[in-house]
Amino acid sequence: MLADLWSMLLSGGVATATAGAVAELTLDPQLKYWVLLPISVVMILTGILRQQVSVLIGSGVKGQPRVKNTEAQYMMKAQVLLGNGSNISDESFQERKEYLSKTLASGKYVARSKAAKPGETVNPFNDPGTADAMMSMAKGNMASFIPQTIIMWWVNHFFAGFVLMKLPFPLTLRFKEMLQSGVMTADLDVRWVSAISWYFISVLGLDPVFNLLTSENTDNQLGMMQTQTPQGTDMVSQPAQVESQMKALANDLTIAQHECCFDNVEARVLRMYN
Amino acid sequence: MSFLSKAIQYIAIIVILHSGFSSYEFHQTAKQLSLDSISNVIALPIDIKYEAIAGLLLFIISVFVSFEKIEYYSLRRQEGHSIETLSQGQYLKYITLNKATDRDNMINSDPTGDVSYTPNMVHIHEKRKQMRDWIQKQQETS
Amino acid sequence: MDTNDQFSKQVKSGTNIQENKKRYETLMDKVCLMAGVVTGILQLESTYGFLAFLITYLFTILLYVIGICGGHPGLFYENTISDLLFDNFTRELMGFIMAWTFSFALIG
Repeated sequence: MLADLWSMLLSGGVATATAGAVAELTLDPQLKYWVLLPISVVMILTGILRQQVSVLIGSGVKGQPRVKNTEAQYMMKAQVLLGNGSNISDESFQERKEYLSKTLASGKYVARSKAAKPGETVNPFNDPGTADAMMSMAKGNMASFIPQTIIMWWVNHFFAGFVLMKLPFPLTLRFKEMLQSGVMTADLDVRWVSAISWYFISVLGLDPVFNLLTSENTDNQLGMMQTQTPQGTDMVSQPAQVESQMKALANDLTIAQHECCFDNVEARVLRMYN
Repeated sequence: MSFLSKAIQYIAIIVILHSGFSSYEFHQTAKQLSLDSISNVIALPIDIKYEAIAGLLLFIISVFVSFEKIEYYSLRRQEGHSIETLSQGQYLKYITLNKATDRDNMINSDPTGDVSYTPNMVHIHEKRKQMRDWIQKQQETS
Repeated sequence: MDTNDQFSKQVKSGTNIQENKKRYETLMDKVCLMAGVVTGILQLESTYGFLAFLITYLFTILLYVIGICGGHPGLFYENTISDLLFDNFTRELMGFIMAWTFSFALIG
């Protein structure tokens, strides 16, 4: 009887695939409980684990020598003056401008290590700061793509070669290769897909789930982001580069136009409350 | 999240689960029936449809009810007042900075305090000298 | 009289913008995932499913603007249309499709 049914289904499938209708397959309900649910659970748990791991291996606040800090902060000071200078009066701005452009142009606060002679370029890979930054970047990348690769291998290895589910929406034939990999039926409708396609759909759609599962931490993260942004490590560490950057900033400062926000403030306030 | 929104949310989830179970049972039965006569397709009963949609509506309502007006505790308690919550009467936070700083003033928070609070700039010896002089003068008068 | 118009625009609070966006995103995540589950329970297919998503999405935005923003979303969002309508669209659609496919497969 089963064989009859299958032959009927398959002939129906072949006949209707050309007509565009969908053939009904009868799937073993155990597939849902032993393939669909395990893949979902594993993906959610791996996502949470990845978040925790990325917190663990993420580098904390790192200290750096005082001269480095001075250098970075003087450059930031110039940038801030350029950006927010309109909030101070004209005299204050001129004073700061003169002082900062002089100091930056003289290169007084460029952090030079004692070992390196002036004019000599240091190999950036020997610098511990750069190495740390690259290391943390590599670790972040690994934490994100190793679990993906492992799960994909796992799904492909253990759940290959059978139709798992029916998608509720039609797809073009181009998806057939990807979504029906391992199913040896040339004329099966693209809506019947194998386990790997559930993996793809989960990868694309799990963002909201993770957001809901870890929503308690989001407020903290917002706060942490704020405190960490100004600490941003600049990759520029060569004294020569820093010096040229400082020179450029000094140039920008000398030609900066100042317009104070207190000019005609009365007129604006009156108009605002009119 | 208030009790009301939690209650509605639980009810909504139960309703959706129940309609899901009904739909599952129905489709299993329908599949068995349609094996005998393949062309025969039965539509989902209307009560299951309504149940599922009602569940979704209840869920949306519960999510919206769970939004509460943001309330704050004042950082400095007023003398003689019990601890009370302050509110701007809004569900979200104002984005214009003048309104945003209104909140900071209301709860006595000073976001730039680490910059503007500068006790190390007080000339402490001068202050102590003033204090000593004042105490001396007090003692002399009394 | 020259009024320096560049200074008359309001300064915005970045943290508050972020927080408001986050709250909206969380709400939409919940609603769209549940809408996906319900669509799967109803066994809606192709166009009807996407229509169900669109209806839920727009209905939720409407409720949000009226109920939570009090009819003035401009007070809480910088670019009202893009922040509320377009920024999260792909993300919510993918979440919806995942939930829809999941419950569709479990029940069908």
